[in-house]
Amino acid sequence: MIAFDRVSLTLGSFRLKDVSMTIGQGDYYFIVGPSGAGKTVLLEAIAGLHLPEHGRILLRGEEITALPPERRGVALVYQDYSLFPHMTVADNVSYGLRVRGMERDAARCEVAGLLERFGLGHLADRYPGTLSGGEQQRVALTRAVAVKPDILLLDEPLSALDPITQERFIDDLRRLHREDGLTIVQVSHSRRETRLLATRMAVLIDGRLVDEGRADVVLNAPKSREVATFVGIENILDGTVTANEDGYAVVDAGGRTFEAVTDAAAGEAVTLCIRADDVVIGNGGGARNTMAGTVVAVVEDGPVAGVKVDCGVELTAVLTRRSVQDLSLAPGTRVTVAVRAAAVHVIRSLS
Amino acid sequence: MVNGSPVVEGFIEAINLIVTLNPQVVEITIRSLYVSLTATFFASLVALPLGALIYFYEFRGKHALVSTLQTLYALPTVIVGLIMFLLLSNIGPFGFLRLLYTPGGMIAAQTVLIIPLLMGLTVSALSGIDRDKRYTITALGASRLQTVTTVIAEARFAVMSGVLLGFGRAISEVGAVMIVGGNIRGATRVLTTAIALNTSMANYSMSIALGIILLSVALGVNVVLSLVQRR
Repeated sequence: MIAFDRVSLTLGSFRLKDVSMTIGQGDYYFIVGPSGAGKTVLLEAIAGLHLPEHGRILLRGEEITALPPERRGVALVYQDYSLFPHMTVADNVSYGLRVRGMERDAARCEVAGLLERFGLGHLADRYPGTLSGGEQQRVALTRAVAVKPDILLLDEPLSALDPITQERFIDDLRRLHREDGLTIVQVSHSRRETRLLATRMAVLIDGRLVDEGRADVVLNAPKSREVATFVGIENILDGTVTANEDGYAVVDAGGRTFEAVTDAAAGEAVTLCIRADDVVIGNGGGARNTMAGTVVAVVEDGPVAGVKVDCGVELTAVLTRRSVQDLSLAPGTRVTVAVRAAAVHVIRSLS
Repeated sequence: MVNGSPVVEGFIEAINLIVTLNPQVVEITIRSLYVSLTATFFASLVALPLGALIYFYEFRGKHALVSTLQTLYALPTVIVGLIMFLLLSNIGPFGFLRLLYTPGGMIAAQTVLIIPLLMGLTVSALSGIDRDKRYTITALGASRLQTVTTVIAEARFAVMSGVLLGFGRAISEVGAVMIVGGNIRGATRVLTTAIALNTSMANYSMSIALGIILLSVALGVNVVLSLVQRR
């Protein structure tokens, strides 16, 4: 639907360098990356608020690089809501319709249904200053949806909300995506939001797009070590391929060998990524990588617990708290750890 | 004035002058308000659009221009008076307008005096609307002109505060109206110049009466200002 073709752009201290990406119709596209990576600038470039110095932006195959924002069919929601304090909720929400030439009363009628849907009906005549943060953010979202955008752009919409409001908001967003079929682009630095909502994602580090693709692929099989670190893969091991037979490679990762599925040839330096939920403690059921080890730490986090096991290299597994109790895991416990060869993602340093 | 307390006596007489609506007091007050309100109106007409232009357009030297405007907030009124006198006098380029020693000339002088203040305060008022909000407005489909008008509407109370401050500076200044207006009785005498003259003539009761009125105007402006800023 919208595509960036080698876009470069400088804005103050932020730079986008040679960014190429494609956002498809109906995608819930996440742009993630560390602070200062240029995520917001990228979002604003989609909206047409910044003119690229190099490269092209295409909408449904047509070049729109210099098309002004009001003709792009987008709507933007910032983290700080950016509501108009001197307008009522209803006037805020109908603003986008009024700048398109609709009469004030007609616009208010038009958005009445939307206000109800987002639970704002009873707040229509209130001013934003009298609303809670969650209500204000909902007004901002409704205002954006009211203009029926082709693409909804969200800049960290959840980061200023409390956890309970966040959950409700995530449900709202999911419905907008699934039921209304809206294409949504969201800037975020929350792994949880990404896992819950994203269908596709891009990782932006220092102005460069270092990974892009289906969200589950980027999250579990990243292209580079820095992406793996950023998306929070728990076990990242550097090693060298010692043998490769029909795509099954043996990798020496400093004291422990792993079998993995890769084309990397013997002698090649690689990085292994293993999600903690792919590390099985107990009976591995014939997994290729089965090793003995000693539990060094158990870190509880709500209903789950991270278990660190020293088996020549340190591996982190994630288990339910209940399983930890059933297996009586504690520092010093001797365990067997199993990882399927297919669960080991190999990053080739040449690629 | 010799026996005891001329101030108290003057004060009592001043109240009397105000309560009985002394014709001279009324006339001077009305002229003062007329001159300064008209000057504020014309200055707003020029300064608000120019201020908006400075805020919305990026150009080289923008920062220096805003700094210069802020420096001109403290422009000495006698300097404005002197420059306007030279411009409006018979030998000056605008002598043909015959505005020297007329209320029109005083309006022109006060307009020039407060334009930098109004421009600078307009820029500040608009800068109070953050970047994200500007972008949100644009991304919601507002054209450039609609973005500008929405930002100005959002900043209207801050802009209004600036206008009130400009009026306050105009009505309380004495240097420019004294030089350009000449303080002619019944023609160009306003509150500030009348106070200066009456005080030097030891006519304290008149000075105090006019002073009370001037202070009331300033107080009124402040009350309106705080009401506006509470919004």
